Amino acid sequence: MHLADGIVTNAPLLVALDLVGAAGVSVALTRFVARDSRRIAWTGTLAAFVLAAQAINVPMVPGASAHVIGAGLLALALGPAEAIVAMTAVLLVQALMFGDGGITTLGLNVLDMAVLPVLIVQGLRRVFGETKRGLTLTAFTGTFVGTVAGAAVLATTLVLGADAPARVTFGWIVGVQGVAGLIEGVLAAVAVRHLIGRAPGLLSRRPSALVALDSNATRRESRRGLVLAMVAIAVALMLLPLASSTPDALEVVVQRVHLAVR
Amino acid sequence: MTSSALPPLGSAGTPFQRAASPAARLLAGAVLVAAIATTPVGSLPALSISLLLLVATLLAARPRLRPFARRALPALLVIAALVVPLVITGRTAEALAMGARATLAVGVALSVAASLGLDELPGALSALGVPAALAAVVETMLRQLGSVQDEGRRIVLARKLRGARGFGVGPEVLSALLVRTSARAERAELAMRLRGYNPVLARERARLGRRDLLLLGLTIALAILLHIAA
Amino acid sequence: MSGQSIHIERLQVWRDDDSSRQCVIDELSLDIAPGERVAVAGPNGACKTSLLLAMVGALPFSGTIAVGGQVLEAKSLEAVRREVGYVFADPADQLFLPTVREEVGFGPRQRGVFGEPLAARVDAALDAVGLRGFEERSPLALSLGEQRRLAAATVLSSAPGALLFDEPTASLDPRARRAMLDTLRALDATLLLATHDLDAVLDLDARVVLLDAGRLIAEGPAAELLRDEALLEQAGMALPLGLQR
Repeated sequence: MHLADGIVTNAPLLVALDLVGAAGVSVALTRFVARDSRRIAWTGTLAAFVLAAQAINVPMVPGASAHVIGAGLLALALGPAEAIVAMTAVLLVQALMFGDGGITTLGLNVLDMAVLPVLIVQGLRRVFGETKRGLTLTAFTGTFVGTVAGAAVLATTLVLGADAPARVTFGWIVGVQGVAGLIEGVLAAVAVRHLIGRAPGLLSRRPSALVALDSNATRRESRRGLVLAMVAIAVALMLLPLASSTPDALEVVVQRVHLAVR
Repeated sequence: MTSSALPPLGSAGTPFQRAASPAARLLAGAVLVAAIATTPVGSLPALSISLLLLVATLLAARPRLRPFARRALPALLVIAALVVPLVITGRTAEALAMGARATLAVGVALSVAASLGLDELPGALSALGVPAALAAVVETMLRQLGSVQDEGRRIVLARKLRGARGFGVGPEVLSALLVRTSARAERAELAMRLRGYNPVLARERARLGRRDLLLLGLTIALAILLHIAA
Repeated sequence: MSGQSIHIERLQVWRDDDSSRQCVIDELSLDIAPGERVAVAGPNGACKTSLLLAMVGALPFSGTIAVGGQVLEAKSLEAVRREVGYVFADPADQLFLPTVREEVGFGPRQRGVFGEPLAARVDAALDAVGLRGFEERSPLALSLGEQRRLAAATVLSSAPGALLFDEPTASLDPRARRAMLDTLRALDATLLLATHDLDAVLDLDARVVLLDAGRLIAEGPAAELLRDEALLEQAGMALPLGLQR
């Protein structure tokens, strides 16, 4: 689910989370650019796939969206850096052109729906392996866990930043997203099985057969991106203590969250 | 990019569009949205001024009513979903205030979007400092969206005509669309490169210019005013 | 007639599908004079498209490819691509802008041409394909035949010395096919067409290079070579309708 503008009142917290999201994209862009600049059209077209799939999708559960399936499939077909960049492009356009997700919450939404799901799928891929079974399992678990993780981050943000009631917020957001995650996980797993059958090369992410002479790796943006990411995280860490007016209040809230999740 | 993919929200060639570059309009919109979103919850003066700001942006951008409403509705549903926990615990007034603030912010965002052509977005992003690679990915995505959507609809139709039932996009459709889209991606990339594609040029055309100072100055002044009054 | 020469020597082309490097074109040598029209003919799977793709550096290859005397390699890629226009079999692959005018102007704009010179190039290219007056139309709303001609215009506007067409007449109705052939005939550049439409080859009076499974099996003027029924059958093709009794 996207977080809209004007819900979270806690500015330092929001900025901190936005910065973390931005840092994630920064690192992804670094790897994206350094690897091969011809990936741009490849990534952009597959980003269009996610947007298109959403447009012709019938939402099954309120709050569900094709995002996490998209993130999962792209992570498997494109690789983590490209997938994060593609999903960021999708979220950017949705926020700026469709009012789907806030402008001040863009970094957070990117963290929730691009960075986290992709990293989770990538991690699980390493665990479950490249066999047909492994990839299917990765698709299912990755999509489900990715959805739930994103929902948890969103719920925590609402509790800490909008003073929302912890138990209800977690129950509602993680609950609803959890159901959506299960359904989307199954869809992703079946889709991956089909893909393995139809186009096994797609999931092994070998470089494209075309454009053979064209590979020109550019390292210009690579250092800058990493430095920016580190600065962003540092600033975010500095902002977090400010996110609570007093240390005590933060403790109380954390206790409430702890109670809610037990 | 077919016009069916993402119909333009706004009327072309409004004075607002002529007065300021795409980058400036985008930046001004972001500043206003941020200003509205960070006013204290439940402050009546803040809500009133925010409402005035919304009306002003609507008048400037003059979006077409039906597409605007169609895009506003899902956004409103998301806002409603987010404030449900407050309503459940009886904090209805707070929920309404938050909802109102969020709604006004979304309204301003959509109005600004209405004044921005999709083909202007990548250049505007680039001019505002978004990394070139990301802006280029956004550009390609928007270019390919129409074709990919059409392809998706054809796959769904072909299935329906052979007796498939159920909602539009199932896993077979997703995987078929992904495979076809990847093949398209390769060829589209090659086609663009063979015609000398150069992402740097898009950025040049959308820089912030002197004529944008007025709009940006005005926006910042309004944002400050909003926070003083709140 | 103007145009660039094309020299191909001992060309081997690979497709990198599914873990093994499959040799697709095997030891092909071919010389095309400036302004000449050559048709690479053969059935589906004869690797015609692979030959064209290799010529723009889009597939790995060994051997020599030279356009206008300039050898194709990583260093000279940009320079060679300026001289060679490539028209895809599916026009949707190369049409992605909102109007015809923007599509045709894309190539020159990328290479730094603006204002009056750009407008002149766009007009000339549209004239050459008979699409003047279509400037403000949406490319994807055109018929297939019009899209094919538009695709040709999008590369013509960059004034390349050599033009590669992949199946230019496939799926066209008779009128559209006629229009396409008229366009091709009037082009002032070296032409290399990949096609299995032998009647079009006859119509254009091109030199024929017959390929089968990546090997050159025959070469000669269309009027002669395309009468050899036995040869054509061996290559999985048939006599052009225009020569059937």
